[in-house]
Parts: sequence; structure tokens; C-alpha cells
Amino acid sequence: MLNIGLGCNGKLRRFELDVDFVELDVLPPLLHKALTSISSPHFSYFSLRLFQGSLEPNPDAGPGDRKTLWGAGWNVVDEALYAHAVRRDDFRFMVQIVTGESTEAAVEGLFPRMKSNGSLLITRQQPGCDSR
Amino acid sequence: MGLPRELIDGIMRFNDLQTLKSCSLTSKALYSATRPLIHRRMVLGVGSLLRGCSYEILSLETVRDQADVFHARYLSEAEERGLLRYGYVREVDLDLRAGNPENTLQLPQLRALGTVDTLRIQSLDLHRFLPIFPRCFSQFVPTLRSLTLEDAQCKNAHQLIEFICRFPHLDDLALINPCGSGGSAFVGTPPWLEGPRPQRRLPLTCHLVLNGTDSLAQCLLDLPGGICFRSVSTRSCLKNLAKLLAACSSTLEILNIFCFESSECGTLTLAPIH
Repeated sequence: MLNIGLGCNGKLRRFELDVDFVELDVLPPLLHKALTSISSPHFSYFSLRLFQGSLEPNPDAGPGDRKTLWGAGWNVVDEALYAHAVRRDDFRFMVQIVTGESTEAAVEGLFPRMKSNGSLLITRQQPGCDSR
Repeated sequence: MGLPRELIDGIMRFNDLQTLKSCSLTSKALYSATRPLIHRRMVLGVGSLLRGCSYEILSLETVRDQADVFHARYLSEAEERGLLRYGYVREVDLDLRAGNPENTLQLPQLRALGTVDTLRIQSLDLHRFLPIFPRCFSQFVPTLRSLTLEDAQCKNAHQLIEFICRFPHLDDLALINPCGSGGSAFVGTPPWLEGPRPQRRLPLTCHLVLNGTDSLAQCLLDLPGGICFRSVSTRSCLKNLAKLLAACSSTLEILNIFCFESSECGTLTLAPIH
């Protein structure tokens, strides 16, 4: 079991999370916990970078099924991020993905409040351009 | 030239490389003012890496120009001819991965470099080099602020920390994939069993990059005065990560975590600490 503590964070400005080969279903509740625990007034940037192995399209998707392996529960992450965006006008949430346009639209669909607030930034890398 | 040195330095910083090179040929004063801007990084390889040479190779790179290649002995010759008197070499990369290990004993030739603030070493065998530290690395001690050790070979975490503690002005520290001698997986023994505990407090206030073991993280936590990094970048499979972040909690501004699914960390949990 692994714990990443973000409790005492009076000066935290940037939180960058790079994810590879982690089942995305497990991320939303963990991110929600981490984001809601950040009390730093300086927190203005959260980056979620997903490498290729984390974001495969769902080959078995039928009508009504999710088209990617993104899990449910991202709405609470969207809410937690929005709470930070309300506190700071310059707060930005950057999602970096290695995939195509369809997934970019899916990401926007997962974070509607951040999208409408103008705080959601998405950058896309071509497969094989893994910058690790 | 009649102008204060800092003013000349300020003006020079806005010139492109070709202009700097031209300026450096006009007078001794402009040579010393432009030299730090022309040459910045020094990359050192060992043994037959370039052009089939059988001895140590030194590559002296210009900031924006292609690299020129010299033999390692260039350093000594450069020192004898006074070319290093202006102290323009600030960063040194040492790559000890390839070649005959005996060639690494030529490292004392680096003694000519007395103003280096950034040192990156790949595949340093600490077990061999700690006993001859004064001969190989003492010239870096007064000025070194940033140290990167990648794939360092050591018997335990203590050796690594002992090496780090020899540089009392360190602000930045990067420890990437330390391993046991012979390339085996790094297994840390309980710290401070094999030697005296360091007494001096290191600054360690800027950046920490740590891809290592829990015992190494614990050694960092046990340093005299602790740690207070402003930026931490690490892999999440460290069990001591929460403690590490807690130690830096009053200063931490930037946190980068790389999560990956592996046999070492089957379950990932992000949780606040209280």
C-alpha cells in the first residue's frame, strides 16, 4: 500500500502527476482525496500526464459503453478542481495525453466545469513521442 | 575598457554566439567576459566512445554550437596554458558507463576545474571512488551546488549519503536508480551502521529527484537538520514518500509524482497526511 501525503502544503504551487499503466478506474477517488487536501493558497497548476499505456481505447465498447477505459467518478475530480479554480483565477488544469482527437473530446467531457471555466488545457502527443 | 565588469557581462548576455566568438578575439578583457557565455557544459566519456580512441575522451561543448572533441589530457594542458584561469566551466557531465574501468582513475585530471557548480555522474562506482575522493572530487567541494548521480553503484545507501555529504553547499540533488555493485538490485542496509553519521547540515533547499529505494529515502530523512526541498520529483513506489513530503511540507512548492503499475506497487493510494 502506498500513501502520498499532501496534507501540509502551505506553499505548494504545482502538482504534477504522471501516470503509466495504472488502471484509470482507481484514480478519481485518489485524486479527489489529494486535491481536496491541498490548502495552499498558491496552488495554481495541476498537471495530469497520461502515457500511452494508460489510455487505450476500449475494443469491446458497444452501444452505450464507454469508448475508452476511463473509469467513472471523474465528476468529483472536476468539482475539486473547480473549487481551486474558483479560489484562483489563474488556476490551470493541464491534461497531457498521447492519443487521438476522439480521446481529447472524451477528456473535455469528463471535466465539464473546468472546460466551461476555461481552466482546462489539453495537450496531445503523437504515439511514440513519449517524452519520458 | 572603463566600464564596470557587471555592466559588460550584462551587455554580453544579449549577444548571439557568433558575435560572442568575434568579441572574444578582440582583447583579453572581452575574452574573459565572453568565455563563460561561449562554453558552458563539459561532457566527459570514458574509453573508446568516440573515434575509436583507447583512452578517456573529453567533449567540450559550446552552448549553441556543435561539440568539439578533445582528449582528457586537454584539461591538464589547458590548465598549464592558463586557459582555465577564467573559470568558465560551470557544469560537468561524467559518463563512466563504457570503456576500461581503469580509465576512470584518470579522473584526477579534473582537478583543473575549480568553479563547477553542477556535476552529473553516470555509473559512478562509489565503493572504488570514496577512498580516493580527495584526489578526484575535492576540487568540486567549495562550489558544487547541484549533484546528479545516475546508476551509481554502491554497497548500501550509506555510501551514497556519505558521498553526498562531502559537498557541503548542495542545493539540488538527483539520485536515479542507484544499484549494488555489479548491477544487482540496490539493497539498502540500515543507515549509519558502517560509518560515522554526517554532522554537517546540508542546504538541500532546491530540487530533489529521487528514483531509489526506501532505505535511501530514509537516509535522506536522517540527514542532520533534515531536508527542506522546494521541488520534489519521484516515483510513487516509495513507501517513505509520505515522510519525505512531510519533511519538506513547509517549503514544498512543486511536486511531481510518476505513478506506474508494477509488481512493486500493485495498489496506489493518494491520501492526505495529518
